Amino acid sequence: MRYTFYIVIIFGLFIESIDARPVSYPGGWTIMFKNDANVNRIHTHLSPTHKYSLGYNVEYWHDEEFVLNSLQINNLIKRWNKKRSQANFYIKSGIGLAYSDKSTFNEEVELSGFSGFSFDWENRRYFFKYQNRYTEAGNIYDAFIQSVTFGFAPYEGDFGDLHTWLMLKLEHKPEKEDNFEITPLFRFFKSVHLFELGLNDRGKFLYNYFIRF
Amino acid sequence: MKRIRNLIIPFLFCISFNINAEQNDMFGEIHVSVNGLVCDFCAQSIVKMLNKEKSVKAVDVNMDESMIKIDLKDGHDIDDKKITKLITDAGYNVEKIHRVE
Repeated sequence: MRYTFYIVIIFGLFIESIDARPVSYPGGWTIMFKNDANVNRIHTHLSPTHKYSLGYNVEYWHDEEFVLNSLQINNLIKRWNKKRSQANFYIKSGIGLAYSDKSTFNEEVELSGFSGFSFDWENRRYFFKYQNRYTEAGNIYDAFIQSVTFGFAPYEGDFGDLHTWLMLKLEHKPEKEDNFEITPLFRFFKSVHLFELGLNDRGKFLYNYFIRF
Repeated sequence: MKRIRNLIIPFLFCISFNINAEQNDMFGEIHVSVNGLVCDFCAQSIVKMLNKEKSVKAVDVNMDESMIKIDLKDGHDIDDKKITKLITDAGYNVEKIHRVE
């Protein structure tokens, strides 16, 4: 368990992460490294078509002290392509095993699953995204999380340029006492690389990287 | 001898110029207006799909005009139906295809 955690951390440190397109082009691979106040995650997926992707997701939850290993499928249910904007509706689901390291459930293994949907809209200046996820892992974990993200691009870069976004992510965890989290962040992307860096209202960093090939 | 040379050189120049002109005619550029082309990542997907085609020499993107420019290899062609399929398979919609000679 700890080894998985360390692998997540090491990859998180040396590579970095994105979260914009859960599905790629046919035959396209994506690797995502996500690290925030709650979780370290590696998700890699292959898109057989632009309508869905199949992948493997491993995540470590800090406070709850468990690892979730899942086979994940992302489905693009609907895409709206307009002249100057695009919107997407996705359903993301996974099934696997959860392994706890917490004293109460030490070394307990449970079947786990999660499901949720996301909606995003963007043009070259503005970005909006809502997403949620319900995760069930027997005695180990059971929670609903939702978030909204707003983005603004200070300039419109052309193809191949470095693209910069200023973003604000608001996360809501109804089960928790202190259940709102605010994270201002920068998103940069160039070519097939995307990097995000943020700091939440509790002083914890967010750093994500993803690459598509 | 000098007179012959003066006739041959312009003649060869003209032939050479015509051959180059014919070759340039065979190079085609296709402009495709695409809906949903709002980010570099979207464009990368389309570029990768088009670059798989052996008739395609190079692909360029103009984000301001939501346009993909396809440069074809000498003597090759790709029909509109194929272009539309490749871009649709990448997850985007073709609005218009314009061929530039």
